[in-house]
Amino acid sequence: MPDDAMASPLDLGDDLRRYFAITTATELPRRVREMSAATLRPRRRSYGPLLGGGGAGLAVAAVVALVVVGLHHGATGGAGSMAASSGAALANPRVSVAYPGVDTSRLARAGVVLQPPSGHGTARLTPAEAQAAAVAASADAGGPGPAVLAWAQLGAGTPASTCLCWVVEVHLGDGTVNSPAGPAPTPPIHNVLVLVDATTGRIADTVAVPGP
Amino acid sequence: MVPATPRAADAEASFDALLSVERRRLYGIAYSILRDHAEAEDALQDALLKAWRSWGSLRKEEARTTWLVRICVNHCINRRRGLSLRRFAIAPRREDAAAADPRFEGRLVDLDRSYRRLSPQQRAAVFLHYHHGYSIDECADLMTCGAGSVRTHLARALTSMRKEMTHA
Repeated sequence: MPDDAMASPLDLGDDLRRYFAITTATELPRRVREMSAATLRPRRRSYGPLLGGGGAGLAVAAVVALVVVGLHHGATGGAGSMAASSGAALANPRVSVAYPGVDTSRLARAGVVLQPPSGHGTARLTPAEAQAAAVAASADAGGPGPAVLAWAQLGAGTPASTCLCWVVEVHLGDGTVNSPAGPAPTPPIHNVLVLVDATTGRIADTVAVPGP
Repeated sequence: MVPATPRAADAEASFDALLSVERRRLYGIAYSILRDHAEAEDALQDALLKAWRSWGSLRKEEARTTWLVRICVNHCINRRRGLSLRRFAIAPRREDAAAADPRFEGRLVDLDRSYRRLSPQQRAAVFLHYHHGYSIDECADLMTCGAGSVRTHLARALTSMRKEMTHA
């Protein structure tokens, strides 16, 4: 097929050129401006021996163990485990709680940070109640995913609001989510993470997760 | 190791010289495939690291630009695929998504929405072909695939975007 075979009455070529001219006309981020062989090398040196020596597996195992321990302690609410987990969280505020299939760093960029729940009280809602609340808040919802308890920081405001939440993934059938402000049409979003306040049962936030 | 120092310095200087020329293009490619500034920064960092590791073994100096762009394109495509597979591409919050980029008006608003729905390969093909003016064969070389695949990516991308813009 020759190149011009893609031309049609609705030729997008000019639109695309204008569109890319706009999207690429932004100032380069500082980190990109400063990238050089010198700034790349330290990362290579520090990661090389670790990966080459099989340390990557150990590092991954350590992270998984940390998350599992944090979740377990949060769910059981034991006094000893609370101290241990909150100590770890205080020592490293970037420790986050994982939700299956969701990257917490991307979630954080969407304004939601999930941290271990220990030391922030006890959930009054059961996981099943939280899942029911999440489904009830989402129009045409399918079955809910697992409920994960977390201490959530919501929004980018200062200070960010926080609450002890059950995080539940809900599959949507028609791309509509009920928020406190009422139903709102959305782009084709198929999954949402619903954050249910573990104390009051209200919907604290809903974050869209686009389908594959 | 006296001889190693000037050679390392030469490698660093040549790498930085090429990077200073191609930095904007590489970042533009990364952003156009990933459509997320933070992801694009990370992807470019990783792609450059990969390139720097092999820099010394690259024989053809004249092919370095193409080689660097190829690494960047393929790294970003694979990164985007990984994001989709793990289903962790968190969309902007609905209130953010509702607010159109003020730089776009008219058809570009619809074009932006339809472009974001393309696959990473389709985005790469469209961007390289329409923005940088690479031919089909050059796109195929940069995307490490056949020319037929590039034509298919382009045709499907354009069909998809036209359909969406017609219905908008």
